[in-house]
Amino acid sequence: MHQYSDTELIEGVLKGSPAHQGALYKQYSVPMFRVLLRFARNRQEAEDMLQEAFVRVFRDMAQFRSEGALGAWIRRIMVNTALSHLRRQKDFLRDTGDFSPFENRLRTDEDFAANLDAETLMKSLQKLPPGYRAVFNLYAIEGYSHEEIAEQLGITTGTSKSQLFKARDFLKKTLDRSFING
Amino acid sequence: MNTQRDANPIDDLFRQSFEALPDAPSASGWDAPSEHVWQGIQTKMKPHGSAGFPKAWLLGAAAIACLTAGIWWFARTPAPANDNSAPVEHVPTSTSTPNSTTPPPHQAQSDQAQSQPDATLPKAKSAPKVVAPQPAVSAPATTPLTSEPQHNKPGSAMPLPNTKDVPRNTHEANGQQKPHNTREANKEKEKQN
Repeated sequence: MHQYSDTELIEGVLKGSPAHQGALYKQYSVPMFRVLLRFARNRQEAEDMLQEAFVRVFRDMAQFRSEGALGAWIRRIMVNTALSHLRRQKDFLRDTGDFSPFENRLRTDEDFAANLDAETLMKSLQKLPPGYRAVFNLYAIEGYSHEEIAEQLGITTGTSKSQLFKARDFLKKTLDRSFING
Repeated sequence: MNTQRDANPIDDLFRQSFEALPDAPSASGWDAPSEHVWQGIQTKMKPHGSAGFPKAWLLGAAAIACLTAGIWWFARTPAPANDNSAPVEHVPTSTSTPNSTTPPPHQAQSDQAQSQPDATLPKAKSAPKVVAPQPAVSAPATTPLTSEPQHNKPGSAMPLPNTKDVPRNTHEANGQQKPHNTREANKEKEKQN
């Protein structure tokens, strides 16, 4: 497929060209799918989000301001789509799970880095309760502040902080378990 | 963004792992979306012509359903009882044929009767039905005006406007009363003889 510049992609999508839509999807679908996999419970949910988000990208392309990067704008749409999916779950802040049997078997950070690949990390993220997962993603990876997270999710900053604390704890225990089993 | 961010090794581990991923999907394909995602996007991005078909079909079906329900509702609604029982005021028609015989006593009032409904006739409680005056054509002058019009009989239909009031048989045409059966006819013949 022909390689287009971002400007060409934008102009083509604005004209409704299927070739340009296909090229834009091909260029951005993999990195954006990785973003959505972090927010989703599983692959199926991430694919549903990806489809919905790309339709929004094509339809809202006229709102894109050329001074910013196209990739960053698309990524923002992906995150917003994931958050709107999350908000539809009424009990997304519900706590689940207890990993106390593995509490004393935590490994060092070096162990984590040396032995865990991105796929394993992604799976451990998907095991988090929805609220933990969203707050951890927004804070640790997307770089949101607690105030921004509270505004996006309709919660207090205190709730955001506590969800982040629990998420980190949960991830440590989950990864330790995967170490033991693996 | 908040500048006072608390650094955490777990956060760094996840962020660095995901940022280090190459642009191409992994060999196992865990980070590549399925083909049907793009197919779904293409379907949603198609012009409204084909996508609007189910909506138009549904609208048409709903319109037909409403029409059917309306017809059924009107069909099952009983007609008001006084519609059939209300007598229809019949304004006698004037005859201006030159062959007319001696007019009945109240023939002279026929002109007045044409313009005013007969006060002696019973009136319906609802709006009285006034039959438009018929054009003077074929009603025989000998027909008594007091005789009950055929269409006032129960079950008989109202005459259409601008239709002729035609006698049903020769007896009516001649102003005679039709005998009910052959015995009465024979008696009449004997009397005449």
